[in-house]
Amino acid sequence: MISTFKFNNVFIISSATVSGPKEKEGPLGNYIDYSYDDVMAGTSSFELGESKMITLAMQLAMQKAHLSNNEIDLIIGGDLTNQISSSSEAVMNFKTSFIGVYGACSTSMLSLINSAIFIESRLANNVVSFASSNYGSAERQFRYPLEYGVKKKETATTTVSGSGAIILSNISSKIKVISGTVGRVCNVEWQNPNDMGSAMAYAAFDTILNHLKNEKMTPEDYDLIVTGDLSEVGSKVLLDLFNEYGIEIRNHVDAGNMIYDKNTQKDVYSGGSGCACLSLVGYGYIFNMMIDKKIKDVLLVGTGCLHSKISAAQKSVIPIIAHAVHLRRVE
Amino acid sequence: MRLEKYKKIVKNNEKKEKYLRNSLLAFLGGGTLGVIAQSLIDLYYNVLNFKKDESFALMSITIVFITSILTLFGVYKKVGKIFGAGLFVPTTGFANSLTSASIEGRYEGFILGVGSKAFSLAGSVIFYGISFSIIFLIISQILIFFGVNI
Repeated sequence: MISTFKFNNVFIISSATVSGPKEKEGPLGNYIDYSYDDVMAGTSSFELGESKMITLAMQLAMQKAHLSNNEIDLIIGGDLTNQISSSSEAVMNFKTSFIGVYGACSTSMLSLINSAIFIESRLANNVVSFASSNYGSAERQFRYPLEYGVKKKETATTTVSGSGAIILSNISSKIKVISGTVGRVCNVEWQNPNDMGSAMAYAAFDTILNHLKNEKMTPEDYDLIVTGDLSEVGSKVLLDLFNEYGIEIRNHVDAGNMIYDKNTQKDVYSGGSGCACLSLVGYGYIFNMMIDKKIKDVLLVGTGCLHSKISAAQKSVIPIIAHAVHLRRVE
Repeated sequence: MRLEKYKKIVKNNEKKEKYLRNSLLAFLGGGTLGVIAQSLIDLYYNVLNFKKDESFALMSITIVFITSILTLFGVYKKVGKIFGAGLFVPTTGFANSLTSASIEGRYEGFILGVGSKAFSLAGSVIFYGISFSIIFLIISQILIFFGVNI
């Protein structure tokens, strides 16, 4: 059983995105609110830089909504560092109730759905939801030292540096949260941490398919289906999985393919990945398109590989998950 | 959906690694490094009049030193990415793994960072290098004991 939760009075009243330099140079750089010149954001470590980006993203989102700390009931969010320490350090300054979530690269949608539940149930009036990742801290966490000079696989992805924050409220606004599907952890007997897109494609397929069934909708009912970080290879796998099932999807895009320009930007490999990939593209570019009335119904699908460095070293299978959120522009 | 079908779809979409190109580049990189190393040995042995075994050791030390400096300034990473195994397998790869891990450790301080993280990747090379040296020493001594001429 895979559950879709329907929401009647949840709106996104503001959003803000903060990134590193590489994302700013990318094709969607203009939609990012603030970009630092280095991924450490002027601090002494990648982890501190990440928490600085989270702090700024939340501050900007609150400024845009004209809300002060006292008016925020709850903050929900996470990142990719060990024990999501960067997130905890960031929210320390806000002195507000905090729930840390971990869903690897699906964290943005996991925290969005959780936040929506608090608003829908009227337990909270304003909830900040964020997700963050950082090239430096994530590479250290999951891969090799940054100066390690080996050839990367063609399927490897590049962790996006940045943070996206949104504020959910029951006050009506242009972007309404219609429903959210919490994915299930799948096992596709995958062990290759150098190609996570192909693995996560299955989780995305499973969640999207069940979301459509639960919502009694077809892919055409959406103007855009946006996946988080399947990258080049994973996106093809996702579309082929649907083809095999007899469903053709024509309106799919992947944030991992959009955030960087593979032709002009160096060392991008198969595309972007990380929690910030979907939060930067979704909360920046996609929200802009919705507000500009270019698109109305959007399905955001966050995908994540839930392995750790230890489980990968022990050659355990990589558990995968995807969460989907249906957003609609309302007048 | 059956897992077999999924696996077939993944296989169909597999991105081909450029094996021929990578192999040629590795051959070129490794070969050039070999020429440089031999030139260094000649320099130490013929020009600077070191003993043969000293020249070999000095060559290794020089290569490790240069690689570490290049790693420190972010140059090695760019070269290593091009030539792959050509530089990864020889001493250059060992020196790079040591220095890169050490650089990364600077955020955690000199003891828990730089010092202890230096061998996080290179540790197994040293461990198995020494372990097998001991094993081979024992074997060779046993053979010599039984009169085998090595």
